[in-house]
Amino acid sequence: MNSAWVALSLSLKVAGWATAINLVLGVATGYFLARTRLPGRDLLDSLLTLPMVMPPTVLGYYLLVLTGRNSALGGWLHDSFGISLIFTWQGAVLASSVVAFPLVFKPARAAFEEVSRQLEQAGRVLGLSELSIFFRITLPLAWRGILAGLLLAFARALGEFGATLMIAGSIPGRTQTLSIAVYEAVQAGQDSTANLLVMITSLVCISVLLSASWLSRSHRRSQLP
Amino acid sequence: MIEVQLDKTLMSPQRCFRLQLDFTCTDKRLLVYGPSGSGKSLLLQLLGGLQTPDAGVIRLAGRTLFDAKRRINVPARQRRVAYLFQDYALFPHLTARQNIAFGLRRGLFNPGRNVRDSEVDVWLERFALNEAQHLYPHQLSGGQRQRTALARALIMRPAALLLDEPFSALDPTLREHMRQQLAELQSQLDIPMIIISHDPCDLEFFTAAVVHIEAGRLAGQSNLPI
Repeated sequence: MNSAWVALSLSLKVAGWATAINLVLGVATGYFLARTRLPGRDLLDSLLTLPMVMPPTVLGYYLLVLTGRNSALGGWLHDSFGISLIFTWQGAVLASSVVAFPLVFKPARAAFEEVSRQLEQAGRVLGLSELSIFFRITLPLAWRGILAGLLLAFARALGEFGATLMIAGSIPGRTQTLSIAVYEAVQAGQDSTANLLVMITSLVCISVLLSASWLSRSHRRSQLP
Repeated sequence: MIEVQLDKTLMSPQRCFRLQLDFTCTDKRLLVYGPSGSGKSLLLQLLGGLQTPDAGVIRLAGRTLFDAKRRINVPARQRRVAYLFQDYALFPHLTARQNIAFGLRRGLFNPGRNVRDSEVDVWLERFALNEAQHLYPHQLSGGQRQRTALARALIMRPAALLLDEPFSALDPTLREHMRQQLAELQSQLDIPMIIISHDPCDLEFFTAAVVHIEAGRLAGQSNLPI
């Protein structure tokens, strides 16, 4: 019973961090891709979409090779900061963030592309700085598309299994998230634990969906036809 | 009042357009007249700082806004020109009141729905927008939208007023009314006003100096008889 709540809180923590990271990185990437005129931007877009189409285990393997202590990046992180991503919940956050990244930056790019440039110009002639224009015009107008992406990302991060297992493993209480715990419980023949975990997961997913539709409804009431 | 000496080439895969203008106007009202595609809107964007000329000089209301030789290019947000966009460019996520208060508030947050500001109240009163102040742009009528956009621009106490086809989005009866209102406003505000139009009726109505543009070139100019 208790271990189920530990797994739930770990899952929520990991998914929350992954969503927060994507709020910054995904939105920034989406904005960059929507505004840049670089010739290679569509190629870049495709490359960044790879985590969505690659099998999670393959992705996890890449991350393992990339951040393991024997790699340049992993060695540097360990030697300079004492950070090790392998078999830690931070590793699970990394896996979830990468997997969910395309779900945020793609809708964000589309949403930014729909914001009329003329509205930004209107802000400019009214004397606003570029930063103010972004936070007061561009972001509020693109927010709906971004929010949809973030909710999807949160749900995807919550259900992350393959890449997380590869990089963070399945240490009960430390890296065993809800979806991994379900697998472990079934493997061990603990049907009642599995049932409980599945119930919890389903409830969390339903409440995410409900809050998504509630958010978009209250949003619609306040603006736009 | 306005001195323009401009060269700007716009390149796109479909076409290449060159605007070359050289004129001076001493009147407070200038009507830039020409068919669509002649470069009038581009001229207005250059004046407002939304586009940068390749070469030349722009002086407006006693200030040098652009001078290629002296490397002066005042950014749009410091030009203090009011710009009325053809379709008004009201912020769809803000009410009429918030739209009008928009430029007064600096920083990263928009003014709230009930922002208190006596100047906003003055402009709402002046343009008969009191009833509509809490409506969003899509809920406003065409005339209300234009008045909101005007108030939003004029509340900043601009040094000049630029109007891009201000009547084209209005139906004919409203158009007549707005022409009247704009003429009145101009006499009260005492700032230079530059209007762009392709409608011959505007030529008849406005007592203004006229610059006639065709295909990016000056095709004629007439100043007001003094």
